[in-house]
Amino acid sequence: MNMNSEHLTDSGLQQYVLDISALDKVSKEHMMSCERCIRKAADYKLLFSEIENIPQPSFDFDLTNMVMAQIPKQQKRYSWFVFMISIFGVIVIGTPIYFFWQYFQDLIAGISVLVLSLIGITILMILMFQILDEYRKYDKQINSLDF
Amino acid sequence: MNHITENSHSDRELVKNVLSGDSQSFEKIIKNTEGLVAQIVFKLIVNPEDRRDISQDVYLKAYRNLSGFKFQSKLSTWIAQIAYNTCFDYLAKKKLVFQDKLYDDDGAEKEVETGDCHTSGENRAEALIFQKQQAKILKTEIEKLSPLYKTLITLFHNENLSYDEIGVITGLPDGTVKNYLFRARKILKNNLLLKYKKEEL
Repeated sequence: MNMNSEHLTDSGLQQYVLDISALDKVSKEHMMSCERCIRKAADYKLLFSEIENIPQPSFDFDLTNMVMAQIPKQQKRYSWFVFMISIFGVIVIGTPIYFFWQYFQDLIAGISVLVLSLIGITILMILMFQILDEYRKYDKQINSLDF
Repeated sequence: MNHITENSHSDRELVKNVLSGDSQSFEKIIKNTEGLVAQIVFKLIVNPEDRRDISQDVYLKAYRNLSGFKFQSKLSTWIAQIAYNTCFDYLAKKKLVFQDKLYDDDGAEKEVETGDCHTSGENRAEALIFQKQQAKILKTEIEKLSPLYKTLITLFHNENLSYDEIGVITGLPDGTVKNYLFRARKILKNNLLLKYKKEEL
């Protein structure tokens, strides 16, 4: 910091109070012995302390509610996405079953219940993993977007 | 500037949720930043009705522009920047502040003491300050500073923001922020001592 007649400037004194490490060696040594500068630094220290004690202002109205009342309500896209996927899944699975139910009955007439269950469970699990995988890809793409 | 802070993860979550349609996340953003916005609005806007309008305007702007937030600063700093710019646009529109009055040099070079012979006077002035409701007096003197100077003092000392963050909010280089802060504090200190030297006489 610049020194004027061996004493620190106001900037130097403020820097001494805020962060002594930023002062040069000569200034630090001066502050160890100069009563005038020490006293002036104490003024600043007191000032800074008192500024920090000033109560924080606050609005005397409910800002959150007032702002939110002006923002259009939106449904979560997540809920819409899951709903549409569910409807799609039911249509994809339900439509062939509905139209070809008689053929399915004839097809599975000779197959045991155990084998049928295994086939059904396998199909369901494959569908579940595919849906989960698609959702993870969607989530990853959303996260990678540069806001 | 490219600050990734420890709060960036929660900022990202909040922004992502708001953009997905979660209004509760935006309520949380308002509650988290309301104090900082209040500090800026109270320092720059005097009329209570205008404060009400401007503070709402700040968050509506933040909501509309949230998809454009690039996370180059904290979310709170970005919203504070919107608050600062909104207040100054309002002041300029009302012609309540002019560029050459944004900061004042009055008293910047004024020295209350001229030498060691004023030592006893300074000590008595300090004692007066102690006695006379320090916070109230100080607040009054801060209010007399120019809009920019009192905003800088508030952001640094009351909100504990760094020079970088204050620079983002005010659009000033870090060095200028530091320089203006030094000046503002010097003016404030001198005004306080000058006032109470006069009272003493």
